[in-house]
Amino acid sequence: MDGFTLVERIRQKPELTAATIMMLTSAGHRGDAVRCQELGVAAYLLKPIRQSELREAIARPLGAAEEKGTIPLITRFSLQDDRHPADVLRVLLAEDNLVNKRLVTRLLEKRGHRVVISGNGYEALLALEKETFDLVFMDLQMPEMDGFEATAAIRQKEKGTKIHQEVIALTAHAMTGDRERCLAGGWTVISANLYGQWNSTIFCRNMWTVG
Amino acid sequence: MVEAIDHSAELPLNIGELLSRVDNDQELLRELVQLFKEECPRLMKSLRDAVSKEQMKTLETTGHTLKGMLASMSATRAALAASRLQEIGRGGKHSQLKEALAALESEIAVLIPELDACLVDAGL
Repeated sequence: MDGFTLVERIRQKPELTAATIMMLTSAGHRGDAVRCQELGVAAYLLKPIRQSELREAIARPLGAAEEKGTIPLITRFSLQDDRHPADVLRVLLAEDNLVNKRLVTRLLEKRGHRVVISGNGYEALLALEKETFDLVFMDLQMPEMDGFEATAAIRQKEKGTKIHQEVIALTAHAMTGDRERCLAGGWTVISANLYGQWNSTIFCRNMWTVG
Repeated sequence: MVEAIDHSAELPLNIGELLSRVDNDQELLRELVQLFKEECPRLMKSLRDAVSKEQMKTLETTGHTLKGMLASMSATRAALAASRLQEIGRGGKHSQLKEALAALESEIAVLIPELDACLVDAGL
């Protein structure tokens, strides 16, 4: 008996009509969401599900239990889309290291931000030509073009305009001289020594916000 | 006043720092450990080849990549060992190449079981 048949059976039992049902699947199929909606399923989520998504998916139907009318089906996408647009940052991550890419991307996505990844400074410049970003997280050392060179190119392009791209130098392991190089490159260090802390809006260690 | 001494940098893996870095998210921890364990052998092979052929540029770039990964995994000792190879690649002493590689190999050998144990401790 699959999940849908089980839900149909549950719905036939008067004593279970008030049950809040959430469906979890590891492979979504076309039409599943519509079928869930028809069966009064509260949420349809793909596995593996993140702890925070599950918590929110459970909290919403329970919180909405007293509301009247049709409650829209909760999905992974609706959980993200329901965030206030002003709270969602568009972030460009310029990083060549796979582990760091995954780490920073997941931490940002968990907080509902949208992340675009570039593998080096050159790719980051191309991405910035195509679209606008609220923030750029820039690794200092990358192949092809490093973060220092890419940020210098961004600043050069901004000369004579009112545009100012926020660029945050990103390194998990600050090497002697990096901070000095940022300063020498004309970048304004406005937040230093954040080691050991997680800022609520920006999510990496050892970072310097550079102007 | 006696200052507390932080010995965490002397450990192969600073688990507290790593957990804090992943926001105490055990799924993310598992993902990162798996990714690291997939990437690490490839990078180590590249470093071994670079050392045997004395390809300094590869040594510098691959040493840098591995250093960054190790730092993110809160494996400071191994990160410093990778950093040493990176520095040699950048123009350091060739005579120390094999010794530096051996030091990194031994740090990685200690680190991998520590990472596995960290997942077991986290119930993953």
